[in-house]
Amino acid sequence: MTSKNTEQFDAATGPRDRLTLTSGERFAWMTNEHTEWGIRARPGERGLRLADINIGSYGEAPDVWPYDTEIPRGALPNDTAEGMGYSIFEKQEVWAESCAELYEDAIQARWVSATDIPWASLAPLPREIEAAVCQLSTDLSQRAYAAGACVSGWLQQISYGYLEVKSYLATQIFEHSRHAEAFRKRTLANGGALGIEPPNAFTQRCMEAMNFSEALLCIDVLEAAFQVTLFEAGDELAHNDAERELYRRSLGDKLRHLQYGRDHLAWIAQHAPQRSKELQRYLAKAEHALVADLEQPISSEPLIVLFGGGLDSIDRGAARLHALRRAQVERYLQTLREAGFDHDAFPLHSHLAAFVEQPVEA
Amino acid sequence: MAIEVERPVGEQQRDLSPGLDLAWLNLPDGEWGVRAEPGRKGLTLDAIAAGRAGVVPEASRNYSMRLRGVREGKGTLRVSPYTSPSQSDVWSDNAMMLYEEAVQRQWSSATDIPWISIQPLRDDVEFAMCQLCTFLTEVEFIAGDTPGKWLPRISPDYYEVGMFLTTQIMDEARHEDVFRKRALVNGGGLLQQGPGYGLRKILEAADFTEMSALMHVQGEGFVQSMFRMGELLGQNDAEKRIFRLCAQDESRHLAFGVMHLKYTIEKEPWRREEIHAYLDKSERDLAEGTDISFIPVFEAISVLLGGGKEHFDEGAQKFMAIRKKQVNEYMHRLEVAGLGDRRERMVPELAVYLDPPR
Repeated sequence: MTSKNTEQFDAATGPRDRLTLTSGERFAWMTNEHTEWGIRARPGERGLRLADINIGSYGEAPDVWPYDTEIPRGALPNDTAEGMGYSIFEKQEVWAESCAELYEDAIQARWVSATDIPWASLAPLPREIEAAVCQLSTDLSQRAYAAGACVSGWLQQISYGYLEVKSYLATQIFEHSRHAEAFRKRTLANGGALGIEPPNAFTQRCMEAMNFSEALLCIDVLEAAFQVTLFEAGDELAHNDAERELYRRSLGDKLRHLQYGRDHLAWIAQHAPQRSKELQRYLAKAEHALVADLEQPISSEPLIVLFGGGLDSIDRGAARLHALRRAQVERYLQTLREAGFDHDAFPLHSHLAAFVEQPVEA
Repeated sequence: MAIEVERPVGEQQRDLSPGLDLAWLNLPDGEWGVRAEPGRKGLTLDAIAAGRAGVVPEASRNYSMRLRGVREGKGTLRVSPYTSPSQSDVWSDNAMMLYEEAVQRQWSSATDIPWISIQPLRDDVEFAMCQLCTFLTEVEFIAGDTPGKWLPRISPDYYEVGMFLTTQIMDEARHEDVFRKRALVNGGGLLQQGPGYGLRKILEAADFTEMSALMHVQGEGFVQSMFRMGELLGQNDAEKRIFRLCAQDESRHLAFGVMHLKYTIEKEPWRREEIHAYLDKSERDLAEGTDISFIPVFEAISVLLGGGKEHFDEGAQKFMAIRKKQVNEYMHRLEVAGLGDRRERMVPELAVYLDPPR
């Protein structure tokens, strides 16, 4: 049907009077033979959300998606359509039960760094404090930008059977961007300067991922668990309302990233348990890369200075950083447990294990 | 507490804080004291493009995700094979402004569309709207995937471009979602998939400027011209609002593309013929009856514009008026970008719609 009608329209394109000559098969598409005619999505209290339109066959994300084209799930296939180069056709590779809700939540929780952060609350800080804020913000900004670039590279690989995942990932990419610019703005808004780039061991690991779950375990499980815990400590780190608000808003976004990572892992644990040892490898490599970054002075020292309140209270700052690291590792392990993925089956990186095992000194 | 700067700060403090490196404390003095100030629109990217952080290099060999102005680390790993070694490959002077505008103007398809205003329509009109929405959903899929493909390839020296692309990814996800919602909210459903040939051309593009010319200027330009006729296409407040909000988003994408093309042609005028060659190819595909001339879409739009099957011919005439508008606005955008000579090179099937030059 398609080619024939297309040819007819080719002939008609241009001179307007020929358009009416396409009557041979006119309105052939106007049939409810292949639709669920009469099925009707209803807006709920929170509007018409993605989950609300997952009705009938339109809502069924199959275990395996058979099309390499851009066909919307539930539409009538066009057999002349060419492939679009997707490489992900299995639900277990990308799915998380929460992604449709996370997509809508992300949109509702949107914020604007230019106007939602009370930048006017910034006031001059002691130089070592300002430098520490700048170094930490430089680190967070670059990691966010890298995470967004990494996730966005996967978008084109995911076929449209899993549109809820793609939609959610769009919000996450957007949020990574917002974190990148918001922390960059903080760096440049108070008389300080951009700091030193992070060593990139972890970013390299993210970029090296050869499948989506591997990348996701890095960004939305391990790194997200660490950053959620860091942002939860935002009130301690902040010196003004702008920083407090920046950490608070970023925390909201990051919690969704972590939930998606956790729920994706849970989906794999339930539906593709044979991948368990494969995922252990990815996690072990991600932990190794993270530790390589954490061991660098630029990762730890700004936090020591901020927690200590300056260079005069290094010991106090170091103890508080130790407590933070412990909480970060525990959050990571808790996330794995919630996903039904037991880290006891393989060893935690010794550097991370040490944070959990060693008592925190006051 | 002020710190003396007679010798590097890090070295001083290492003495005071044994066991710490503190090299990061040793910020160059020349960079201190530059303070970005919020303006009328808040603290925007434009406001922080000051001092060293604001100097955009014409060439980039930045392979480590280091956003412009960040200091290089010792032994930092390279992480990405960038394909944008020069500013003119990707730059658009309005990227910063468009990023901030996009962030400010995000909307929610769940709550910003008056879905309640949609009442049962005649079957032929409902079919037509659902067919159009099926097509638009597909278009938006690809328009979201494509910037995702390019983002990791853009040097972070030009991070504003990368950030703008993330807003496009977000916008297109919302468009894909809002047209899908419309197709499923009023008893219709998703109908015939299009051929996607033109969409694939966008994904196939091996060069950023080629991609941008095809997607932002040509593809989104044609879609934008159609969205701006949303008052005629929409049958109720919800649909009219959908077209209006989507048009607002598409305007940004289009503005980026036009200004990027302009920048490239101004900075690298020798690329003019190359860019014409991209447009030759894609216009030919456009004219040969691919996505925008897909029969079900043409018929659906005609039914919507005419007000029903029985007014198809009247609707088809209005469709041709839209096509004329699409082609003329396309030509105008190319003129703004500095490609006014396209008028003489446009494929005849499209050129037939051109008004005489102003």
